[in-house]
Amino acid sequence: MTMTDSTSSHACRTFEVRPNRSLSPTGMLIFFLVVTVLSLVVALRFLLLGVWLVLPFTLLELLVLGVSLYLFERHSRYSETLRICPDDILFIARRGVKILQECRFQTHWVSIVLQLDQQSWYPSRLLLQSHGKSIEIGACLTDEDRKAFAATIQATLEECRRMS
Amino acid sequence: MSVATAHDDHHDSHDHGPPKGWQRWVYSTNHKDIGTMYLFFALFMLFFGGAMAMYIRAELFMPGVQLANPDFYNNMVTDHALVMVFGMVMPAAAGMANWMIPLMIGAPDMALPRLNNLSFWLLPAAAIMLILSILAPYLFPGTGGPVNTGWTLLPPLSIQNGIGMDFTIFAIHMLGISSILASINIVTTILNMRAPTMTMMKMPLFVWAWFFTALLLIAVMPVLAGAVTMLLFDRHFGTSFFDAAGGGDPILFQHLFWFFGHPEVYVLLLPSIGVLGLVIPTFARKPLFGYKALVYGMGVLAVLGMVVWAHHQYTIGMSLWATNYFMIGTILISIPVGLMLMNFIFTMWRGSMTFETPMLFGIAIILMFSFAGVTGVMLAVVPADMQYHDTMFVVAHFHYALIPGAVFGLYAGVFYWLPKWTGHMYDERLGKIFFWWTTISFNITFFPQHFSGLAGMPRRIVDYSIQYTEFNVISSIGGFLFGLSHLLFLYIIIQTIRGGQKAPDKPWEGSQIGTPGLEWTLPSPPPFHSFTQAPVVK
Ligand code: HEM
Ligand SMILES: [Cu+2]
Repeated sequence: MTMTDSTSSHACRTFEVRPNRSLSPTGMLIFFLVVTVLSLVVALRFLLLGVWLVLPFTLLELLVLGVSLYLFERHSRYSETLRICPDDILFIARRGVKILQECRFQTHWVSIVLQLDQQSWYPSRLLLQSHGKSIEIGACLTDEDRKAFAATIQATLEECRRMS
Repeated sequence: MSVATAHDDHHDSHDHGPPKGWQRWVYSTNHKDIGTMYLFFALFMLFFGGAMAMYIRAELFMPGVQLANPDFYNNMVTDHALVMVFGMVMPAAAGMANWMIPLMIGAPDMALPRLNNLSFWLLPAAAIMLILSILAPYLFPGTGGPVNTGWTLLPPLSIQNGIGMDFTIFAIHMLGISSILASINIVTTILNMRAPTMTMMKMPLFVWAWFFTALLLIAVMPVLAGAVTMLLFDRHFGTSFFDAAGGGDPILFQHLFWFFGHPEVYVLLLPSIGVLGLVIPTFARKPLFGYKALVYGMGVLAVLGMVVWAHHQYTIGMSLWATNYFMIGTILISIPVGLMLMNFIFTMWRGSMTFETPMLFGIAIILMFSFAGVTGVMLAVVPADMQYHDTMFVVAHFHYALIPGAVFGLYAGVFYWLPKWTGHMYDERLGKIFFWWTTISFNITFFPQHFSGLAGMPRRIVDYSIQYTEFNVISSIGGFLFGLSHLLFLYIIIQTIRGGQKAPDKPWEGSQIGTPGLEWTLPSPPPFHSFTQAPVVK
């Protein structure tokens, strides 16, 4: 996960949550090319020996690998922005620049709920709730990060309430 | 809009905790649940493959054919190996990867959770295919006898086999797809989802081991898939890839099979070496000696492992040049293997050691696996192998390689992580009894096979000449004891799941020494933190 926290105006704080990616898209491409070249060397050598049936399986495998990496890359363009101001809270989920979801809450009415699974088997869930409305935030974080994030926005919220 | 959830499908959506009942498992995309399913599947297959081993040892207890016909015996030899390799060791290692890799590198889950679900569920389907292949001669009478080729599936016999062979081929296809999907998932997870502080060179050895394992699988699995598909074509579509009568070449299949088969033994070995890399520093309370050397050593092993396959085929009459090349290449492999073992020994050197069950297995692995290395070098030497090939000596060699090298590593992992997995400590006294029981009975079983092999007893035969009787009686008694010990294993696991002393977050004093992952920082169950630290703020 990555979180950036910037103070957008003197009274508001903005958090940005993105899934953590330890390899850049270029790195992924290089990895894919290296695997492709090595696998094709093997498959083509066998092709020359008349064993043409290895090649289709290699191509199939590389296709699955490529598609997996691509889908994963697409996922990692996901981001959530949370702006907490004394009056309202704005939540926006994006993929790339496309907005997937946009929600507004009133700072005074919102509550932050961290749902824990008793066995700690499933990941916890962080919810923003108000007036029967509930959205999940920070699903792409690890458990500890989510807990820390919950604590931070809770503190920010209290600060904002005090200010208004 | 009353409920709006805005989450990436890194987690499945469930309102309060996991879905109940069977749906939790069938649709699971949770790495822990899938890991657990892999481990239980492996445990089941351990008993399935073990039952076949018990049958084999019962048949070999005395010379003569006592229990069934030779075809059935050969079928058991074949499926024992297939079940143990593809059904037990690989799924168990994959289960540990699923459970531990995300925790170790600080990822919320595996990179591709739905793919993960698919790669698990292909396994039971493949297992059903394998069982059908055993039952085929009885279910479909008149379609030919049992699969009796051995796990190497060599033609022309595999082309002449009955319909059971088709089921075997389908099973292998499914198993192959499953391990390729799992490998892709694991590689993607390791590369992309490490926490910001977890650089490649800080990864726990287990993660590195699985990284190389997954790359090996990606490299060689298509070759196996191609080879068995060609068998299928030869059987049903009139091709003659491997049929000398049609201009094909049965030796070609051997090259294809072993091009996959030799890297496969490292696929079985490496995850357990990874477990050793955690267990030894933990109980020696010293950082891993030569972490980088171990990582590079595993890399060299993986590369060398791909270019020495024909040491399984010295007796087929290769050119002198090829024979020499494969001999020297194979002997070279003992260098990275020796380096890894030395690193573990130096890790223990002057450590403050304690001997809990995982550590006992760790030490036993080093001792007994070295032995397999020695017999391996003997087998690598061409003139010697001309004598040893296809004797019980080879059976002894690879059981010393695979049981300590792979299976005991998995046992070490099970005992090491059971507290983390279940939240309970296992019964240390029973664990130690299990250790001594398996280790002693394993040696009683397989040590004599070196001698019966050197004396000339061939492998894969149902009957033998009477001068080998004593060795086989000892082997069989050891085998039954070894099999029996696993009931205790099962008991310990059930007991630990159902209750027992509560495990702390960090059950082992030394678990943060060496190349620790992030897994031991995870409490269980997690207490609610009040505001302690701000999230990573740039
Ligand atoms: C120093 C390292 C090793 C060397 C030099 C070595 C060498 C050999 C050779 C030459 C053979 C062929 C013998 C024959 O059929 O005549 C063989 C068989 C075998 N080895 Fe190793 N080996 C080593 C390590 C391992 C490891 C680490 C494993 C597995 C974890 C392993 C598993 C096997 C298996 C399963 C076979 C028999 C396959 C079959 O015919 O069904 N070996 N080894
Ligand atoms: Cu080999």
